[in-house]
Amino acid sequence: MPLNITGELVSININRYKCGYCGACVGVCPKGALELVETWVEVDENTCITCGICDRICPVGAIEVMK
Amino acid sequence: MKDMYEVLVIGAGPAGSIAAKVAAENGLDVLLIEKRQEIGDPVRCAEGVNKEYLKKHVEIDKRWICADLKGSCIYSPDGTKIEMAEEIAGGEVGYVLERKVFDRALAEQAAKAGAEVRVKTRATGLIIEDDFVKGARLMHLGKEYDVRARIVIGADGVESKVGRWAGIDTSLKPIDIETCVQYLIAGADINQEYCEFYIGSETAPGGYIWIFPKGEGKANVGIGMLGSEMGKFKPRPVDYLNSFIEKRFPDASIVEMVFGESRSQAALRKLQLTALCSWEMLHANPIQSQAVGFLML
Ligand SMILES: Cc1cc2nc3c(=O)[nH]c(=O)nc-3n(C[C@H](O)[C@H](O)[C@H](O)COP(=O)(O)OP(=O)(O)OC[C@H]3O[C@@H](n4cnc5c(N)ncnc54)[C@H](O)[C@@H]3O)c2cc1C
Ligand code: SF4
Ligand code: SF4
Repeated sequence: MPLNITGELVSININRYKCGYCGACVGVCPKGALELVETWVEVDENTCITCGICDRICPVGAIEVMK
Repeated sequence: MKDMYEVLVIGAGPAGSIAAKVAAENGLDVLLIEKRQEIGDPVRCAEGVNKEYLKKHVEIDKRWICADLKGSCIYSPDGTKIEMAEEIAGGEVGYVLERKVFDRALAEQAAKAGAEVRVKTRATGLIIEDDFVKGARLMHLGKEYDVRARIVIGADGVESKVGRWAGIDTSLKPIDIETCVQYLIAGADINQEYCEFYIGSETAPGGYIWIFPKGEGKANVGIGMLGSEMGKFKPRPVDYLNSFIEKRFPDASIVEMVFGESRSQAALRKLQLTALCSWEMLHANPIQSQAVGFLML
């Protein structure tokens, strides 16, 4: 499972040091669970269905989704 | 910021700024909001535009233009070069812009035409009453505002939420997008009059690499790959770009990194139906020619 910034186990983690805040993941998320807030991406874990599309599409591989 | 306008435009990319400008020029009371703190920054574009389309929509200012292209060259995997001069390419080549300057200038033109422009102001939802969009909720420096408007224009680019809030599914399928990584490189020996494209499944599966000159030994070198070609355990666009740059420009410095995605024709057609604004409908880079015409009003 991916770990978040504070070391907790999460089903989706966005590495903000890798992310170039381009919004590509936000555009493909079928559930609208992601949001680009200024220079970081926020995820609503209650809406995310861990489909992994955002993970596949990120040009730099900043998102890790565990199904 | 007032609490009522005739037109509220969300997103100050080229599409939003042009929409705001045109509306203000027609005497409407317009608010143009942008969530970033600097319009045009970070750049998400290779900055190539078709000259003819650009001329149709805005008055060209020399300060935006980094390179005036004479043609383009396409390289196939075995190294075969296909050259397209301006005349043959039918005006398909164009200018390489400085988008930071360009985007900001367009927003300034909107302001000059009378629109109120606000940066660091993010729309967080729509105000919907009796099934009609009556305005939007905005967040500015941590404070919430309700702003009403007769017309709300969603020009919020790839991460568009406005359409979704209004109940239109604008989410993109991986096959509808090209995910991109681009570096601005400096100190390289680059032909400033031609843009170059490299195709082939080893170079860029389901896409291509581009080199757009930006003047004085600089260029945008980027890659776009079809989203459907990508996978969790496959190399990312950034990996293909790194190996290309290592081979082609081993001594160049990377002075800026750009990530993003570009929507395909099919995706744009979908947006067109929902009357959301997108710059790609107006312009296109020389190889994709995705321009669809002026859709703003
Ligand atoms: C690497 C790359 C290369 C490209 N190369 C080219 C090229 O060579 N030529 C070309 O013509 N096109 C190119 N494109 C596409 C081009 O960048 C886009 O077409 C263009 O920027 C889209 O303009 P827009 O006004 O529709 O949206 P954007 O420029 O994305 O503007 C949308 C704006 O809305 C803001 N916004 C979003 N949500 C909110 C909100 N809730 N509240 C307030 N503001 C919000 C965003 O911050 C943004 O500033 C490229 C794209 C990429 C990623
Ligand atoms: S696609 Fe990747 S780089 Fe782009 S905003 Fe999402 S996490 Fe960041
Ligand atoms: S895993 Fe799927 S639902 Fe969850 S944020 Fe990514 S794209 Fe959206």
